[in-house]
Amino acid sequence: MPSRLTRAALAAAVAVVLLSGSGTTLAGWGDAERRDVAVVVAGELSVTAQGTTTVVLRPGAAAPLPADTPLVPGDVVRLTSTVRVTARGDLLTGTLALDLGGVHGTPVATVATDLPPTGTHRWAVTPDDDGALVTAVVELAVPTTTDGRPAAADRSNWWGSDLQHVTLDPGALRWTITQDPS
Amino acid sequence: MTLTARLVTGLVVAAVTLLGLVVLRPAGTTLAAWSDEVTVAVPTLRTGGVQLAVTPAGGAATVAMTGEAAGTWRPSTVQVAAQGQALTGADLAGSRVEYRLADGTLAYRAALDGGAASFPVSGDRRLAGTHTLFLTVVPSDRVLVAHGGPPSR
Repeated sequence: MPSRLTRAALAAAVAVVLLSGSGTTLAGWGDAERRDVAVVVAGELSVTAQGTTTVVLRPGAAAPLPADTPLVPGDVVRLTSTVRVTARGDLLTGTLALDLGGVHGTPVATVATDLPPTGTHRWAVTPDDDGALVTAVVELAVPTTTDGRPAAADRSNWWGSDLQHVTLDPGALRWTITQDPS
Repeated sequence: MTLTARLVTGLVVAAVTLLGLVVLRPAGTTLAAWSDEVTVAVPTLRTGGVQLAVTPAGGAATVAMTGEAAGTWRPSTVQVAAQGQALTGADLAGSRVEYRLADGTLAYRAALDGGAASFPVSGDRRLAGTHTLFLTVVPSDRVLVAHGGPPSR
């Protein structure tokens, strides 16, 4: 009479053999149906620059001046940037945002668009807005005085020879479009 | 190891495995989303400037304004000195300091008042480009006696 341990081991071995896949089947019937693989098309959510212009607005000038005009205190640099929104996809929602953090100085921006605003310089985007154009006008002023206040009679806040013949890097503005989490 | 210990060990291993499966299973949602961006650089800008160059010649001085920016100029203050010492309004009492243009027109006049050694120049005319100014100093008798000649500067 084998021991309990031997019988248990034998039973386990039999179970493993019986329950393991044998690589063959006893089923004789079979059927199969071929289906063409469906074509899956992804949507799109993107923003594309359409045009950018830069001009100089000078008090007293009848028309805007070219961007390469040497600046003087009191001038305003106006940047106009237009982008096109692409939003294709069922139930796709996103947010278009204008980031002025990379623009140096104190930019003042106004944006013309039919997109519904969702916050400061943020707009909602749906597939209905596919192809929409958004135009931002960003203005940067060259301060008239060193402290931005009216010119003092004692000339304490006048630029003097400062800010003459210097190169200014105004930076860059950034458009972003991001899919909203579902 | 007893059978009970084996059973407990097996249960513990199974529980740990099940917990790992629960924790590490896909959640069904993802934070990844489509996004795109466009950066629009503002072109580099350059400021202009103005310079005034003064070329004295005897009792006259030619003042030239150059630079990319349009503008006008005029004298704003004047100092009067004798033997290297600046004179105050009290020192110059009764004297006159004037600026005349090349055609003799009186364009500016200094107010020689107070104890300061720098005097404001009045006159509404604003000049552009290059002009020659004639500085006229008419000392009082007291100044002539005190300094022995016409102050200059």
